[in-house]
Amino acid sequence: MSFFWFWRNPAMRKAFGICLLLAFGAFLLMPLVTLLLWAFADKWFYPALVPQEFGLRWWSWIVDNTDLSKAAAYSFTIAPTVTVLSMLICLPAAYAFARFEFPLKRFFYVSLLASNAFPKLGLYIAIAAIFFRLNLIGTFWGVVFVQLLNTLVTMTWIPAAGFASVPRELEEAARDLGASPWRVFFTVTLPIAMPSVIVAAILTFLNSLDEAQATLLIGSPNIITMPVQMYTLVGNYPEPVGAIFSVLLTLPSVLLLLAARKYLLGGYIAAGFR
Amino acid sequence: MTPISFLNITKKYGAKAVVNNLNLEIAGGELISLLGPSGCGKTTSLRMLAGFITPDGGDIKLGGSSILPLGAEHRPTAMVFQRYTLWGHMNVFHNVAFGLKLRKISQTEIKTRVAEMLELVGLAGYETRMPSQLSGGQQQRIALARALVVRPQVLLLDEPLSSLDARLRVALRDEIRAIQRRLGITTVFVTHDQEEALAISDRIAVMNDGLLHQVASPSLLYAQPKTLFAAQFIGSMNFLPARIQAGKLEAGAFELPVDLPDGDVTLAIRPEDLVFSENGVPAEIEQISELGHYRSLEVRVGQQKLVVFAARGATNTSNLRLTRAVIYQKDQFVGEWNATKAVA
Repeated sequence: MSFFWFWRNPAMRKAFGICLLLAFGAFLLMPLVTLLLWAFADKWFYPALVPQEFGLRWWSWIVDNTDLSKAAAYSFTIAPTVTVLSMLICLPAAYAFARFEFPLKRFFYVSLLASNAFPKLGLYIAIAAIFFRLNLIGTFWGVVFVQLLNTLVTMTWIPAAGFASVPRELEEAARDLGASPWRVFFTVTLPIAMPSVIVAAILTFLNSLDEAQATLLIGSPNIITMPVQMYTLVGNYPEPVGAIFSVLLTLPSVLLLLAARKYLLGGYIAAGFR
Repeated sequence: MTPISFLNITKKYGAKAVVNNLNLEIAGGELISLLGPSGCGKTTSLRMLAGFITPDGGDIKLGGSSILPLGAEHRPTAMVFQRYTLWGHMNVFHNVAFGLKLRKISQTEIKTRVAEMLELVGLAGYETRMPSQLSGGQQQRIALARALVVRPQVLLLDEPLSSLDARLRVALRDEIRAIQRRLGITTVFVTHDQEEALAISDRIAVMNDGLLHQVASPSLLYAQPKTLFAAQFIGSMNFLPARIQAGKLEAGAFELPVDLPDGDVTLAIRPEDLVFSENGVPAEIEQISELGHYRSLEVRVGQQKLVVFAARGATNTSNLRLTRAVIYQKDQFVGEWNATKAVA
């Protein structure tokens, strides 16, 4: 008999699907659960499966002994700055890639990947050498600029696909009724492509919030963001410290995704154009 | 009531001219159809009029002045597209009001004009619906309202009915015609459907391969297609190779007296111009299709297969008599033969 005998049995097939789903869920959630347990564990020794004592001991330790508020302030000013700048630079480029024909278009489109093609650390060291001469080391704008580099691909490629999927006739209909090209972009193209722009902005924001390597290299010693601080603490203090930082850094992503879910899940873009 | 003139308009893509030296005068208030198969240049001509495509040569005039220097947004034209183009993120009111808002018109007037337009297209009270809640026919009505509400001088229709089902297509085309008559707006209607063009146009411009073949009223176009292409494209037509010799045209079993020079020609016969009659030429009925209000027959006359449209019911003879035919020489119309005239 064939190995796939169970596949022909609908009940077995369903059971198999559920098992696969459970395995996937466990794979996705277990690290997060462990992280949460560690963040609230006052005492957790082998071989206990869950912490022996829960509490907020390490939370108060972090508040008392680290510059958490300062790091958070840096993180939450740098990330929005990077996101907004990235949108200003990349969205026009994305529109151009989606709508206009120009020489070497494909070359430029793919070349956005260049910064991801090399080992990051090598790139950052080279940039650090240049920034040193420009007096950007240890400055807010130095960190912003180096982080911008990482966001170019996401912030251009995703919205470009979004803009390209807006049917030209929808823009032409607006042009035809008297709207200038700018007006068409802001009243028709951008609203329809908005889900892709929001996805790109969220990814950019989270990417920037989570960035440690470049920030460490360019920002030290003045600009210490939360992930940079986490790197130093993880090596020197017990597990709950790193876990708490992770939880703190996870919160923004969860909140952002909840806030944007209307745009990400709503099918209203597909409607009206069949 | 703005007239339109296409003067020597040419548009090339690479070496191929998709519109080749188009000259067309459209009278104010007229509904003219640009008819032809896909790729014939009809849509390109319409888009040049709307301002989405710039011609390579020639001029387009609206009411006597050239509109080529104007961008699409400054031309007094409004278009209804083939695909559904309502903006899905705005409700019906905002879709229709879009053009009015750009024209700095007061809120109260916008509201009344939008309501009037929705009334005109038969969708009064639909202001707060979203496009996704509308059927295809309703979406195209709203698109028509959106175009007409800005009171354009010229209405452009780019196959607006082609994505609708057959029954709705007929209903909506009659409605478009009625609205066009009421407003008296110059209208250019692009279609590949000859029946649609015949039904609603004042005049039809037949195009093929970038060339204008004929501009005529539907009845004249049907009776006397100027070129062999127009004859093939509009309605059904039987074509017989024929030869004229000394004032007599011979096409198989058919012989007609004509007043044309000798040579090889093509005889074109509408299926309804062949009638069963005792004193006709003998024919053999091969197949009969009942089509409701009439029947279509495939008959054989000598070596020739012909299509005949006849009234319902059995025929008492299979002899065929020719009542009317048009004659083509080298793809061009050269003459018409008519049994009643010949008798008189």
